Amino acid sequence: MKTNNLKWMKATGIVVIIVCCFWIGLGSIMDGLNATVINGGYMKWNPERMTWQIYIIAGYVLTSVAFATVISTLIYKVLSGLKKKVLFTTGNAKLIFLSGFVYMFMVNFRENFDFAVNGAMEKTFPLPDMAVPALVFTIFGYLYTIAIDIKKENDLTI
Amino acid sequence: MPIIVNVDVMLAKRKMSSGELAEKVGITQANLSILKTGKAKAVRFSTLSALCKALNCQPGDLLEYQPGDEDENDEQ
Repeated sequence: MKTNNLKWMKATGIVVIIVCCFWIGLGSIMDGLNATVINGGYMKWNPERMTWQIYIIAGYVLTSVAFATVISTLIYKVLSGLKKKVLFTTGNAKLIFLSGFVYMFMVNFRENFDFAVNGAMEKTFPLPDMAVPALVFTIFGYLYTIAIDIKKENDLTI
Repeated sequence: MPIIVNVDVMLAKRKMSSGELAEKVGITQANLSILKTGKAKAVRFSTLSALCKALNCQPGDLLEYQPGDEDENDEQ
C-alpha cells in the first residue's frame, strides 16, 4: 500500500474516532443531561407518556454511546491491524455487523428524541433511515467475511 | 485434499532436512510443514519449481493424486 494512502487512511480513521467519541457519544450524553438534569432540564414531562419519554432519552444516550464505542473500536482495530498486516479478522467482521444493528436503534431513538423532550403525543418510526444504513453495514460485513475466507485460502497457498 | 505432496519421501531420498529445504526453496518451515501435512490449499508454480530444483526431481515425483481422499471443503 502506498505510504500516502496509508497516512490519509490513518488520518481519516482518527477523525472518525474523534467525531464518534465526542460528537455522537459525549454529545448524546450532554443532550440527555441538558434535557433532564442540568439547570433543572428543559424537558416537558407528559404524565401520560413519562415511561416512553424516559425510554427514548435513555435509549438515545445508550445507543449513541454504544455506536460510538463500536465504531471507534472497529476503526482502531483496523488501523492497528494495518501496522501488523492483520486486517481481515472475524472480530472485525462481527464489529461491522454490530455497528449496523446498533445504528438502527440509535436512529430510531434519535428521531424520537425531540418528541420525547417536548412531551408530544407523536412518535415516528423512520424505517428507511434505520434500515438502509443498517443494510449497508450488513453488506459490508458479509463482504468482509468473504475477504476473510479468501485470506484463509491465500494463507494456505504456499 | 486428493493431491498429496510427497515432500517427506523426497527429503529422505535426498538426505536433506526440512530446514535445509525450506531455506533453499525460500519458504518458512511453517509453510513447508503445511505442505507436508496436506493442509495446503494451493501451490504456486514458483514454489513447485523451487522445490523441484532443490530436490532435483520432477513435479510428478512430488505430487500424487489419490481420488479417495476428498476434503470436506471440496463438497461445498
